[in-house]
Amino acid sequence: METSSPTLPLLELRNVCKSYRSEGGGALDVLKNVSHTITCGESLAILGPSGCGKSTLLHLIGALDLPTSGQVLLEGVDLRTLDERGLALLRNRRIGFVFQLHHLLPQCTVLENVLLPTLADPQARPGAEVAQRAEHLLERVGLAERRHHRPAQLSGGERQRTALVRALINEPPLLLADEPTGSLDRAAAESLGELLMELNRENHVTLLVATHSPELARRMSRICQIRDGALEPFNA
Amino acid sequence: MTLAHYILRSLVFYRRTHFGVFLGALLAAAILTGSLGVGDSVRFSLRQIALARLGATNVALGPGEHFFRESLAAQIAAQTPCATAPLLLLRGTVALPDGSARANNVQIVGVDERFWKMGGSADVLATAGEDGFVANDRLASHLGLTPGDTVIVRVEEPSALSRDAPLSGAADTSVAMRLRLHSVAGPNQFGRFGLQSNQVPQSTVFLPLGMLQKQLKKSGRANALLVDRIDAAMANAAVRKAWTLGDLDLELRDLPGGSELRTERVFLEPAIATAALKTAPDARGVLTYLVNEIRLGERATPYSMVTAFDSKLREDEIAINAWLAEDLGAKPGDTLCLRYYVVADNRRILEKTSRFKVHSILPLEGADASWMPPFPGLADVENCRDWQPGVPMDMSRIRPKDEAYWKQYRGTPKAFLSLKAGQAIWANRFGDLTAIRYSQKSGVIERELRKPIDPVKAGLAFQPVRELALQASAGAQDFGQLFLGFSFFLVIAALLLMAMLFVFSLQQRTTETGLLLALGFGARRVRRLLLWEGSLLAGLGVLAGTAAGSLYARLALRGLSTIWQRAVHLSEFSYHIEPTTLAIGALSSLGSALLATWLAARGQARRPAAELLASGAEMETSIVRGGRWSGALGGLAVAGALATLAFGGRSADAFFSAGALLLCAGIAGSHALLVQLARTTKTAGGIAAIGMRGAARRRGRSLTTVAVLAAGVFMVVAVGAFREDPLAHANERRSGTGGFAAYAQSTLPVYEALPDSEVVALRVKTGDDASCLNLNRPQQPGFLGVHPEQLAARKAFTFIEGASGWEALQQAQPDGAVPAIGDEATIRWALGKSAGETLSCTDERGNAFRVRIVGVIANSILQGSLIISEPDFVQRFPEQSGSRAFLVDALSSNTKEIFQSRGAEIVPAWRRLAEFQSVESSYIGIFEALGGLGLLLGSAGLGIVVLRNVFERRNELALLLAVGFSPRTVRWLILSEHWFLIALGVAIGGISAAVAVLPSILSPGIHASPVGPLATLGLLALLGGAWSWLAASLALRGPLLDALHNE
Repeated sequence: METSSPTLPLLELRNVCKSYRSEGGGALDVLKNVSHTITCGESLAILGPSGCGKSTLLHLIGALDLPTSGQVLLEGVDLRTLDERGLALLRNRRIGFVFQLHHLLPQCTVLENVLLPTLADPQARPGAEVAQRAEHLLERVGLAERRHHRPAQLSGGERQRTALVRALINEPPLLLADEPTGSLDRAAAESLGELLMELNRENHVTLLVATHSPELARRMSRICQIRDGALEPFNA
Repeated sequence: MTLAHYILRSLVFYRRTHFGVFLGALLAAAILTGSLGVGDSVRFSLRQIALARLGATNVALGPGEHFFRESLAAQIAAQTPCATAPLLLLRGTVALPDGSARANNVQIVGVDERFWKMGGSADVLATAGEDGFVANDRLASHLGLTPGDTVIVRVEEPSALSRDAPLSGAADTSVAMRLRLHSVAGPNQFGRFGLQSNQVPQSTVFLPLGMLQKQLKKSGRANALLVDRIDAAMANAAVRKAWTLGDLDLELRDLPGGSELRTERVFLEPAIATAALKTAPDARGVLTYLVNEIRLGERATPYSMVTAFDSKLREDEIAINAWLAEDLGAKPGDTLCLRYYVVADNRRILEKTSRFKVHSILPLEGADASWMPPFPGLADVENCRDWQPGVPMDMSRIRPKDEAYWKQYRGTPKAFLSLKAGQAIWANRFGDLTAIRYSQKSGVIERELRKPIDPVKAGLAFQPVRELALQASAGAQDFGQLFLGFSFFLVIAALLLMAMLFVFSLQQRTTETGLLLALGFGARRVRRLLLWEGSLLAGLGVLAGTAAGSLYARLALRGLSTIWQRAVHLSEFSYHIEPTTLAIGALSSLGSALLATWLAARGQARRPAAELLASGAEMETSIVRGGRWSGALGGLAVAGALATLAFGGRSADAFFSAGALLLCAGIAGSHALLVQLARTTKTAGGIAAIGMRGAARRRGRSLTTVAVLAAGVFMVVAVGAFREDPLAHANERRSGTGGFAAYAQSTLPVYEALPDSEVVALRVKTGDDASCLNLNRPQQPGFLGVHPEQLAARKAFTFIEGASGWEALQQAQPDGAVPAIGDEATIRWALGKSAGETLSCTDERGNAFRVRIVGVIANSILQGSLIISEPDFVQRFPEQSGSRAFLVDALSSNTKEIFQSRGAEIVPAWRRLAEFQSVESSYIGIFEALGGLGLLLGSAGLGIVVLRNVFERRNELALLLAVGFSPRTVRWLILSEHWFLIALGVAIGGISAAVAVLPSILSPGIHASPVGPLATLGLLALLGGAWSWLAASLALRGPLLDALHNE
């Protein structure tokens, strides 16, 4: 497995802009010249009101979308230099993503959902090793007993924990979480927040969380906010 | 966890939504495989029919001109490892004694136990008794016969000499037999026996061979021979070994001082005569003829035989016997005038005159009656007054001294000419010699005669009937392709439905696609996964559909044997499908289903993962594009349609093209309209307006609905309008009836010359029916012989290819080919030829000759045979005497009487044309039925679209209810959206179809009824409306407001 040095920046944003074309022909600027650096093992919370561009920023960092201008460098690699296949490989190996809506496949069991990312790469590791890791992670998040259950049989917190394990199955150095507690009750949200921080500490996974929740944000080592399209430190 | 595992899980989990996709694939595969199965089944059935009519027969001789020895059969069987069955095979009529019912053109077969053995059946005639006969099931059902019933069977007494020949005896020599039906022979009792390739069994009477031989005065003779196991070459070789002169109607008899070869046919066939003259150096040709009168001045001797033979006479000299010299008072140097009949081309008898100078007077001592050939009606008659030579005779001219001469000297010639002189005036197409004389006795000559004469070339040739029958059934009209064409719209509708349902299923899983992309799956890999899933589904559907194809084929065959029977004229089909056909059907279905799946899946995973994850099932893009392009395309298509109408003339093709272009324009215009509706910012004026605007949200779906409906309506309505009315223009010369009032076909030939103003008589050489009524590929088409000038004068029928008139039949071809004209259906479809092409045919004696198609006439009552000129006809088929087909302008009582006496069936010309057109009408009916099913499927697809649209918008609809709309108003909103689409589709299809069929509708005389097309449109609109209503009602059932809580 590739590892990132704790001293080097894991992620660098250089003058990242993102705008959308509206039907009237004008442009809607969501992000304006965002520049930022995140080092390995950091945990960063991004706050901001709905529609401010939190998810857009996460999608750009997660290689789910490309910036209108500027550069996103992950481990020194400019995402714009990668082709579709390279981006897919990057998403699969170097990034884990947790969505507000867990997006578990209803047709698959918990274990199968967790193993899903391993199917994306035909040259992936041997099945037994991955399955062992999946079992281990599920045990760690308290879902060992539920591994053969379908998502429909899980609670909201369990579903989100499953999605978290799925994001970690390929041991990515960067974990992106977009409103991970947004659809959870308070207890489940707290439990998930703890779990995220545990993983950040123990596995040195760099954590980037977009959230409305001040409680979750406070757990992170740094907090930023997006205001008028710019990413700036959050001053409570 | 593997990818296969994932796919399997998805297949099982989404089984409900996938069921529609599976069903679509099943339907498409069932129709495709079933259609091909129909083709195999028809071919198989035709093959079974061919084998049932032939039994074990491999090769057959005749029925031809020669009545050979029945014992030839045994001799062939003794030489080769085969079984044989001699037959007498004739045509006749069968009538009930009270005249209440009659069957014309019945096959009359004289058989013995060998025939039944050949058919693998028991000898059903063995216990029939002296007057018993067996009818086949077709005849029995036609006449309503049951065992014990009595009928009158009438056949023509066969004559070795063609009735067209001069002095061929009385014309009407039919034999009537009163017979009792013993039993009915069905397909398993060899009741379908026949030598012609046609799926329709012939009405047949089976009689004991011996009895029929006796009735026809042909004891020990047969005119057809069936042989099993061996091939034609081996059978012909056996004939060459076993034949006798008698098998070719030849007789070699001893005379004082030598021998003479003569024939029952009176005139020796030219080929045989040539060979026989070379047999011995002193062979001398003889030509004896009956002259009407020999005159010297005022004195005349009536009806005398005159012989021409090699002598020292000059060409203008005549030697007369003492009796004639005395009767005329003639002496050497006098000039005698001979009057005699000859038969002109059209069987009219002409009396001609020739003058000769008396060279010498011969003594009566040693008078030799053997010079006279066996003229029918003369040779075997005791008194002059009983003569029936087949030419008009004035019996009052026969004097007692003529009667006395006949009694004493019989046919002893009263005068002699040189052979050259005789042949110059009496030679005809049947020959120019009545005998050949030799100085040696018959024993010596016979051995020599057998050497140069080839009996096979002289008419005793075996034909490979089984091979020809199998070729005919194998080359039959491909019903597989036909049904595939007819079912095309149904298959497309099923595939579209399948693709649409698959797209719906994928749209339902948009977030899953987004997730897979977010997890690092490449877009192509995601598409491949979806494609695999769809392919497995399609594969399962195709597998089930291939099995269900037999059901479709059986249903189609059932339709062909009942409601569409006129298309095939066959009521029994056996279902059969070849493994290769099954594989082709399955693979092509799979290919089509995979293509549909690929087309559905290829659009997936093209949008960014973030967008897919965010949008869920809602795939609409906010940006509306393409309206201008589709508008421009529509405009271009309209311009194309107008240009086609302006410059394409008033042809049906131009109108059809214009209609098709309008259809394209309509579909493109619909897209532009939908785009316009999506863009509009004007405040909607009511619920219906909001509903119509809703149709613009899913433009792809809406456009598919409109396009499927419009195309379906166009095809069904446009094709339906191509039904032709046989009554239209029926009295015009250029129409398919040729302007004739009736068409008559006689069982027995008519020899009399009929008035040209009433009837155009056609000679007939029966062959394989080359009309659309015969499903088999004709191997040896029949011929009609016509006097081209009779049709040319009437300007009858319309030429559509090649020559422009009947005169083309008289123009000699540089390569010696026989020019022929044929009906479009005969030339193009049955024979697969076109004008200018040639085909090889076989003449009466088994010799091949080339026929060139010089002209093609539009669909007409002359369908089924090749038409050649009478001179060409008689040259190739000299034994086909008289006429058996007639184009009737008017019918005098005299002609009608003649027709009745020859078992003629007279049908109005328009009805005969209608019978041919009924085949086309049935095909149109099949297309309409299957196209209608496709439309039904299309309208069901519309129902699914409605359901889908409504379920996707449950939140919106719930909101409308929440703000106070009544459920009724909400339903109206949904219905107005979808009825708008139905109306659009039906209007586009209907209008473009109307333009396409305008020429047919506007043509005077065509009674095209708008009821059918309007009913189709109405039914479709009703069905579409009903589906929409049902789907909207279903979707609005239940607590819709809960949707708001779930948001």
